[in-house]
Amino acid sequence: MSEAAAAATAYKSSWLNKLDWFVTGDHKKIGIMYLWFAIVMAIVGGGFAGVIRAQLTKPDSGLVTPEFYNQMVSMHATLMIFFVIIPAWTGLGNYFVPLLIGARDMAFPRLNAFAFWLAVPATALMFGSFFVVGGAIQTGWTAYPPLSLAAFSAGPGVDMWLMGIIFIGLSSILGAINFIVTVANLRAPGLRWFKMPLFVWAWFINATLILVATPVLSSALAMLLADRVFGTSFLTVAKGGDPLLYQHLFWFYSHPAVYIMVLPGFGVISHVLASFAEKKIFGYKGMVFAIMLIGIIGYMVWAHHMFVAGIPPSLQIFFSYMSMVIAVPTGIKIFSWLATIWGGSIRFTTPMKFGLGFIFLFVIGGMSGILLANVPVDYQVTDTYFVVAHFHYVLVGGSIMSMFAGMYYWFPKMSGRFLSEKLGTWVFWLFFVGMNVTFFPMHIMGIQGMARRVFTYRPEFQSLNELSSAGYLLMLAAGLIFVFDVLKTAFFKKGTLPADPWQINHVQNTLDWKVSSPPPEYNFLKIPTIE
Amino acid sequence: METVKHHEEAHVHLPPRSVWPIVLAMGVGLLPIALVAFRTGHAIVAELLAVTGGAVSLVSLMGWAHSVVMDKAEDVVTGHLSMQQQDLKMFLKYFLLSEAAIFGGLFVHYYSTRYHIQAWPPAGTPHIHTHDPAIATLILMFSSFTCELGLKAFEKGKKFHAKTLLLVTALLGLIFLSYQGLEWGLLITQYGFTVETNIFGTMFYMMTGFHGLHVSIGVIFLLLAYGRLELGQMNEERHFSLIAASWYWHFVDVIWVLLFFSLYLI
Ligand SMILES: [Cu+2]
Repeated sequence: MSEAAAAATAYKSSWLNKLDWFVTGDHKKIGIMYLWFAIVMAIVGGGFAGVIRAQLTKPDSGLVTPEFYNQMVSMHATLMIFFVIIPAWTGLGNYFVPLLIGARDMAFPRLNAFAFWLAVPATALMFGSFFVVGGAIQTGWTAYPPLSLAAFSAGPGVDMWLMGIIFIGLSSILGAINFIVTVANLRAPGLRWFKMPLFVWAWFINATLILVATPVLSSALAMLLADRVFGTSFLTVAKGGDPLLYQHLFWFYSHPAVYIMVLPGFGVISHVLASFAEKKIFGYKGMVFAIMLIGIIGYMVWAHHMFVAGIPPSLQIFFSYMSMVIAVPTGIKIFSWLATIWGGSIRFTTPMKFGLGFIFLFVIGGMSGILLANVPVDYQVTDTYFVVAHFHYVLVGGSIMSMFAGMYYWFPKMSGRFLSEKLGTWVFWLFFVGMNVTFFPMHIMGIQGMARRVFTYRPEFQSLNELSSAGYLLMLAAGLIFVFDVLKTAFFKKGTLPADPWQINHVQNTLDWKVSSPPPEYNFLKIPTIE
Repeated sequence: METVKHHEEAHVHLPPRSVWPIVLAMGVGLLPIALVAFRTGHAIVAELLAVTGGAVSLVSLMGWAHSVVMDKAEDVVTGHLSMQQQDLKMFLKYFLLSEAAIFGGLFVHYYSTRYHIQAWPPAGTPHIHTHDPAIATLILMFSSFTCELGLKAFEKGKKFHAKTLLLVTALLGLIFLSYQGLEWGLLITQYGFTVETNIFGTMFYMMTGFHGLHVSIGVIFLLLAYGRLELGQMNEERHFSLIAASWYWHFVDVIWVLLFFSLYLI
C-alpha cells in the first residue's frame, strides 16, 4: 500500500471529519491542543504574577486590595501548577511518547481526548470563581483547613476551586493510565525496556506517580468539599475531625507533584544535551534507576512541608533525612548530564542553551532545597520568601527551562518549521537573567524575614523588591517574544523540514527523527522493528 | 537502537474520531456548576443544570460504548482484538489501583483520627449493631463467588449458566444495598445519627456511602454485561465487559470487607 493510498483509506468519509480538532483521537493533535492550552494559561498565570510583582514594588502600594492580592497569589500557583506545567508535559508526552516507541497512537485515543476536554470545565470553574460572591479562593493553593472551611472562607469560590482541581486531577489520572498502558503494550518490536529513550522512561515513571498520588489529593479535596457543603466533620476540630490530616494527604500528593512537574523535563534535557554534544547519553542505566529512585523516595519526604505544623520530632527527623537522601539520585542525574557534555562537540543551539541553563538553575534550587530539609533551618525560614525563591528555582529554573528546551528542540518536528534561533537567543538570555534577577533576591529577603503570601512588607525590603519586580519585566519580555515567535512560525511560515532537521540522529538514533516533519497522521506506515 | 527494519505487511489502524469524549466532558462539567448554583441559592437553575448534565453524560456514555462495540466488530477482521483486550485489562488494573488509592486516603484518615481522639466512638454515637451488617457482608462475599462462577461458566461455553449467575450476583448486590439503606434509615430516624453528628458519623456515612455508590455502579456493570450476553455480543476472545464487571465486583467486595472490619468490628 502506498502512503497516499494509506492516507486515503485511513478515514471513512463522515460528517465528523469537518469537526476535526474537536473529535480527534490523534495523539499529535491532542498533544498540540494541550500545548496551546498551557501557553494560554501561562499568559494568564504570568499576568497574575505581574499583578503580584506590581503590588510589591512598594511596601504598601495600594494597587490592589489585600483580598484581590490573596486571590492572585492563590490562582497564580494553581494555574501554573495544574493548568500550565502539568498540561504542557502531558502535551509533549502525548506527542512524543508514541513517536519514540514506534506506535501509531496512544493505547486509548478516545480516553485521551476525554482527558483533555475535562480541562475545559475545570478552567471554567477556576475563572468563573472570580465572578461569584466572595470571589476566587484566597487561601493560597494549599487550601489548608480551617482557613478554607466555610467558617472562614464563606463564598462558593473555594467550592469551585476544589471541584476544578478534582476535575483536572481526574484528567491527569486518566492520562497517566493511558501513558502506562501505551508504554507497556505498544512498544515497537525489539524496543526492550532498557532500550527506551529517557523521555519515555521519565514519562512512564511520571505516570505511575500521578496514578498513585493524585487520587489521594482528590480524596483530601473531596473531604474538604464535603465539610463545606454537607456539614461533615472530616477536618473540623469541633466535632472530632483533624485538619492536620489534610496537610498529610495534601502533601502526599503535592510533594510527588514536584517530580510530576520536573521528571519529563529530566527526560527532555537528556535528549537535548546528548543531541547537541554529539554524544550518547552518559550512564543510561544509572539515569533510569535514578528516575525510579526519585519516584520512590519522592513518596517518603512529604512532611518536610509540615515541620512547623506540630508533628512529632521523630517524624521530623525521618522526613528531614529522606529529603536529603533524595539529593543522591538527583546528583547522579546532574553528574551524568555533565559527563554527557564533557568532551563533546557542543552546538550552542537554543534548546542547548536552555538545557545548560536548566542545569545551572536546577542545582541552585536543589541546594536551597537541601538547606530547607534541615529542620532548624526550616523553622527559621518557613513561610518566608526563602521558600518562594527555592521552589521558583526548581519550577521555573527546572520545569520551565526544560520545557523551553523541549519546545525549541521538538518544534521543527511538530510544525515542520524551526523557531527563530535569533529570537530564541533573546528569549533565553532575557529569561535566564530575568529569572535570576527576580528570584535570587528573594533568598536574601527570606533569610531576613519577609513573610510570603502577604500584600505588604516592612519598608527595608523595598529595594530588593524593586529589583525583583524589574526581573519580572525581563521574564515577561522573554515570554512575549516566545509567544510571538510561536504564533508567527506556526501560522505564517510555510514549508516542511527533513526527518532529522537538527542532523543529530546519526548519534541519537531515536524514532522521532526518522519520520517526516511533521509526521504523517499514522506516524509509521510500517511499524518499525528495532534491533 | 542501531538499525530500524520494517515489518513486511502494514495495516494502518488510525485513531477513531468520536464526538463523545468532548460531549461527555461538557456533560460531566455541568454537574459541579449545578452544585455551585445550588450553593448560591439558584435551586431551579441548579436542577436544570444537573438534569441536563446528567442526561448529556448518560447519552454520551451510551454513544461512546456503542461506538466501541462497533469499532471492535471491525477489529475482529483486522486482528487488533487480542491486543486491545490486553490493553483494556491493563487499563482496568490501573484504574482499580487509583480507586484503591482514593479509598486508601479515606482509611488513613479514619485510622489516624481514631487513634488520636480521646474517646471512641465519640459522644453522640448510638450503638451500631453488627448482626445485620454481618449478614449483608456474607451476602456480598457470596456474590463474589457467584460472579466468579458466572465468568468460569461463560469461559466453558455454558451461556445459560453464566447469564443466571450474573443475574443472581446483581440481585445479591441489590439485597446488600437494601440492607444498607435500611440500616441508614434506622440510624437517621431512630437515633438522629447523621453525617453532622460527629466525626464517626462523617466517616461512617461517607465511607459506606462512597462504597455503596461503587456497589451500584458494579450492579449496573453486571447488568450491562448480562445484556451483552443476551444479545450474543460476546465470545471466547471478546468478553472484556464481563471480565471488567467481575474484577470490579471483586474489588468492591474486598473494600467492603475492610470497611466492615474497620467500622463495625474493631
Ligand atoms: Cu516537598
